[in-house]
Amino acid sequence: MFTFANGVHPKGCKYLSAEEPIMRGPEPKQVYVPLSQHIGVAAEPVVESGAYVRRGELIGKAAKGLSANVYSPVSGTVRGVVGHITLAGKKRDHILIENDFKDESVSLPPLSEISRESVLGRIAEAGIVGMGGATFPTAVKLGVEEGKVDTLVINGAECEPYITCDYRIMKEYTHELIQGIKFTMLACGAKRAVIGVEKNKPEAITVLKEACGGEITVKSLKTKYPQGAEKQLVYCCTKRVIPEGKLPADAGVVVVNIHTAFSIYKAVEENTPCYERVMTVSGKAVDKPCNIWVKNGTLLRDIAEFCDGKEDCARIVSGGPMMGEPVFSLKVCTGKGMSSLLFLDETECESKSAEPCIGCGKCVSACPMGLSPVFIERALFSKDYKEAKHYGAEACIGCGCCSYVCPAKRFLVQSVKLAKKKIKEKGI
Amino acid sequence: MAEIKNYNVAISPHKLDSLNTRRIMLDVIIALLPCVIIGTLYFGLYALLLVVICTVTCFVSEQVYNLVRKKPFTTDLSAIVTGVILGLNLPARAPWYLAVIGGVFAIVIVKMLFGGLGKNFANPAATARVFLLLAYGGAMTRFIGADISGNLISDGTIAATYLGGGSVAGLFGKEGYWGGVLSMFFGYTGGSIGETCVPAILLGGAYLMVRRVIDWRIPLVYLLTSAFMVLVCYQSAGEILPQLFSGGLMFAAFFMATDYATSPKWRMNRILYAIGLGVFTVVIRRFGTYPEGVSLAILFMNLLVPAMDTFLVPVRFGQMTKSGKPKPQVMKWLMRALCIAMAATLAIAAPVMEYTRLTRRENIPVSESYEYVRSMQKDIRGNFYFNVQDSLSVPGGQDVEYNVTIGSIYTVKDISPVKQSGKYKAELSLFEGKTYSEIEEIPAGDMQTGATIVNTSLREMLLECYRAINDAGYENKEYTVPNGFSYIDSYVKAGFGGDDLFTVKTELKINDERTQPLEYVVRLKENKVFSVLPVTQSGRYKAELSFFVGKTYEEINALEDLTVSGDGVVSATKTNVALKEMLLECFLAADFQKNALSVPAGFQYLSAAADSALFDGRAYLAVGQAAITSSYTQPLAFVIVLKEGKVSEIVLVKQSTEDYTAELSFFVGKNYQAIKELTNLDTGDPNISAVNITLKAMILECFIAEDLIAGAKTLPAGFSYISAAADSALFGGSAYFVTGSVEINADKIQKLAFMVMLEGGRVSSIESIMQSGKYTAELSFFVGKTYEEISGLTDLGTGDPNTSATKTNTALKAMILECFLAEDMLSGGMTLKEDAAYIRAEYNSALFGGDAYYVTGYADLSEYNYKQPLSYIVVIKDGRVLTIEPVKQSTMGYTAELTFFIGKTAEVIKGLTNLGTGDPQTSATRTNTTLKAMILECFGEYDLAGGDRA
Repeated sequence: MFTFANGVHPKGCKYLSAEEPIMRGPEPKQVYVPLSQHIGVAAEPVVESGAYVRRGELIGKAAKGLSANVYSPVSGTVRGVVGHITLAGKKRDHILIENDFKDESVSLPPLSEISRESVLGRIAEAGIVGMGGATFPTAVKLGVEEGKVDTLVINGAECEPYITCDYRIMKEYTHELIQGIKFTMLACGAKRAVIGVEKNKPEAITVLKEACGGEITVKSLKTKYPQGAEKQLVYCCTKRVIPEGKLPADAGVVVVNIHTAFSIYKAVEENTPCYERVMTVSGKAVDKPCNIWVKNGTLLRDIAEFCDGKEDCARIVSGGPMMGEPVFSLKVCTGKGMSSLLFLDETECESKSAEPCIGCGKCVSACPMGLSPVFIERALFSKDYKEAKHYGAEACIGCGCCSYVCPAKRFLVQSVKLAKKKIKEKGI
Repeated sequence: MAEIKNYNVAISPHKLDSLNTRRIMLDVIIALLPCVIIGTLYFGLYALLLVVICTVTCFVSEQVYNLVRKKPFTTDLSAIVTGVILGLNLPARAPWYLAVIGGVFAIVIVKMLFGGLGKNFANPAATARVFLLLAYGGAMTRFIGADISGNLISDGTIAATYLGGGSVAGLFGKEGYWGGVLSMFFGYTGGSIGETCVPAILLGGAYLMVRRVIDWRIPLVYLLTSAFMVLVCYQSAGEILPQLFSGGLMFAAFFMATDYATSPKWRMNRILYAIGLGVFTVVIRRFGTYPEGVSLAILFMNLLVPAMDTFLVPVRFGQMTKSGKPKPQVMKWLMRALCIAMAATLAIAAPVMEYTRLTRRENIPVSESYEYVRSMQKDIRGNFYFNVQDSLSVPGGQDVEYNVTIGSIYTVKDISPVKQSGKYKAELSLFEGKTYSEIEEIPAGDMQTGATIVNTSLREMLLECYRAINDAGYENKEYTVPNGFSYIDSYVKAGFGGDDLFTVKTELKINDERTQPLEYVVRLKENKVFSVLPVTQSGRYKAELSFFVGKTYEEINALEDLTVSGDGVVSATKTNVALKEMLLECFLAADFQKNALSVPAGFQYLSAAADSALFDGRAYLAVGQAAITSSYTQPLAFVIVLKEGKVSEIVLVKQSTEDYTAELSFFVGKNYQAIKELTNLDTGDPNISAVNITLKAMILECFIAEDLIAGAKTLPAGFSYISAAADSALFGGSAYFVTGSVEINADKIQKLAFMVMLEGGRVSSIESIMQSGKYTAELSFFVGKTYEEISGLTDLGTGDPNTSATKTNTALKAMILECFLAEDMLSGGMTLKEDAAYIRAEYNSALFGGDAYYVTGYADLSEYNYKQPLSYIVVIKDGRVLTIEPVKQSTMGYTAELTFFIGKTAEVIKGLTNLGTGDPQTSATRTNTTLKAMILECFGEYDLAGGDRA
């Protein structure tokens, strides 16, 4: 089966939540809506302490430069702009809203016409960012110059273990999704779209194939991590290679996540801005793994309560086990890009201590980008950044395949990331 | 809700692949187990012990190193893996310290000193093997083979590996090419512990590939390239499989070439690495001196790997060239192209090419007359291969068959039993590695191990192989050096120009504490020293070769001043002196070989004779001993040159270094009589006299030999005692040199040798050459008597309470009678017969009066594995057997019953059917039967000679 080179095969573990239909998540008492749920500059608050806001009301305006709008997920009183701990461990501005449980809402004004400009404008207005986890403002990504992009690739790979939110969206909101894809095609000017779905989601593939048609096709992809990585996905769906250091648009392609496309549909068709998302809560340390609509800014503790987290939880991970960030406190709250929350017990996670490198070269065999983590690490330790660049440190996508396979349990992906950072710093 | 607070924080990835270092090492150990088990099965528990010692040594040395360097103990099993691999690389009977030294070297030097796990610069096991090969070459190349008589457990017989020139017998009786390949596949061949049984290796390798521990590319491409290179370098498709299955190539391909730290990290580079390995392995094997190139190839490629890693970085996903085009993946396509090309070549060429025998050998036709040698071949390197067969007369009968390899340096390289008894196996170690002279010297009875008959037969077969080589005319002839030369170790006629090649050895005494071993290879060409090659000599006190090279015998003999200028200590001079002696010996040995005269058997001292080119006259090599004191006998050897009946020269070959030298002036220039009369050999020094006495006896023997050679008369073979006959110049009349032995008592057999002179039908004189000092023959009984008188002698006692002198006399009587018979033959107008079955000569007998026939034959006692030689003189007169004189018949009492025949005519004898003597043994009957046939043949002649013959 046509696939990209290398990669690894972690255990899927999707069975825990794959058959859980999407349902409403917790209705939190308070939400701490982060002003920065995206790559780029944080949004600027447009409400003050004491203001009353409704669900779907703008509370943070996109700042100058690369930014995105932030909307309130609940109706209630703004308690103020507070500093709150984020997943990265830093204190950032959040808007604290106390939920009055009245659920009063507003929507965006309906679009008068569906055109590229209007759709792009709506996408920007709705604050849609890449919901696969990258949180890049979608309008900027789609707003390339005319004619540059001819194919839209929809990322339905969902290659990380445990996560099933995109799968459920594909199954339950199929037509909405297709419509969203059409809007996205319009927005970026693509003539056709390919939905790439991993083979481990056969029902989704079937449903999508039935629903799509014309310029939208479904490509079933080999189940391999990181199939959902941009360059690999584009290569498998369109056989195009994105040159090193370039963007997909340079290859005439734009990649958009399933949930993002769905959000575009909601924004354009249902005039709903982006203030909540489907999240997968999974892992053996929750009693009730599920796929739930979670409002942005929900404290993780609320989610844990909602899903009955167990005491034997050994690790909490935001995202998937391969690339996901560890959660150090349940006080952290969700955002547009948090696709899943995993409560892993002892058997599902491990702590490691690095042993000497045995030179097996498995990291090289695993790296989907064809880098040599073993040599990059050695170059890093001898502070030879030129050599690290020679072995390809700059092209690292951070998928973690190298660390995954290393028999000596070395911190390879971190070394490569560090080398990448140093190379940039030193301007080599 | 439960309080979630016991969670930890760690960086991604949060769940890793289950493979870890220890698991990988464990997998390798598991994969090695089949080889270990099979190796133990084939080679015995000692082999297992070697592997265990090696493993333990590796483990311990790693921990000791960590202790010394204050590092934590390593608990990964990599040292164990190295230990097992190195252990499996050792020959199955290597001394234990090889395992220890190799283990320490591999772990401490190759691995730990360079940084430990993952930082070794070369494969530790392969490097240690190379180190052991260089340091302990002999022990590392002495392989034993698995027993192939059906038992799996080896009996420890040394077998050369296939690459070392050994032949491989067929497995399960399957002969020919595929039989040999099957043997090697299952490991019925020589090799180190783990590398012979291919299925075990494949099993382990498959396990490793399934567990994804090794990259399948390396073994596959290595084997592919090796096969291809064998096709190219040896131009033989038949050589491919044997080469792949031998020399540890399979083992190395799966277990040693795949070592992580020292193989490339990228798949395409691994293919290049494996190609390089294949190329180097085969090239070293084909064109280099070491028979197996695997370890060296691995070592060499390991050293190249860092360069490959730096310069041959693979193309990344999306990598562009400077001009913006996608960077082409050169290596990928190049490697694929190479592999496909090699595979295609093999696929096309291999089935088409003829499956020649395992190495290209040319057949040498052997004549049918050989008793044992059935086929003979020679290969490019000058090795000879024989197939020898024999039928042994053991109860039940046993057919044996061996494939014998005699190397180009003229030693038995390998003996592979093809067929032999499961129970009575030949003791191959008696013969392997030996030269012709060594094998010849093994006394026929000295072959214990319960398979004496097998060994005896094998010895005969091997000697015949050597004769076959000589007969085929191959120039590399080894000559046996006559007894008496002290320095010469071996003598080979080398090359096609007929140069004489000697290896000479000695222990030179430098001073009271030190002796320096010396060894040189001397080449003589056209009677000059062509070259002297030092093999062993002192680093400091080297022989001054310029003194000797290019000189003749006379020139070297004349050298007096052998001091080396500037040499403060005299040692170099001593070396020169020793070398001079050695060179002189070489000249003498060459002289004796080239111009050899045959010396009649039975002399006490005479070892060789030659019509010398070096000296004027005939040279005789005499070897003996002088009893200096009651505890010390001095070995002596002289070359005595006789000319015109006088001693013209005496050359010292070996005599005392402590001044017990012979007084040569007593002897030089004198003739036989003069020397015989010498009584006072005293020089005033009691010690020297002993030497003189011995020398006198030697010289007398030389004169006798000279006499026999000068006046030699041909006698037909078959006499019991007569060794040579001649017209004696010394004594006048006919001289007969007779030898025999007399059993003094159960422990002592005394050899006898006399010169019996007959003149005018009487014994004119008897010279004793060799007899007991105590029980001497009473010559007066015999001198002056005729045949009849001596026949009639009954009382040969001398009044001696011991009957030993009597025994000597009895023997002498028999000898003298034989001499008369021979004399009768020689003086009766003897005509030799060539083509008769039994008759060797016919003559007119003066002794008996009639036509006499000398007949020889055999009584066939094959159930005792014995042919009894028989010789008779049959005298026929007036159509009847007048008399029959036995010359040689059984010593065990199976004598012919002469009364059956004497006085009878031909018809009567023809009609004799019952030749049994009532003797429960049938041997006498056989003798009679043969005698009857002999007599009839005589009559046949008689009838033709006389009567009515038109």
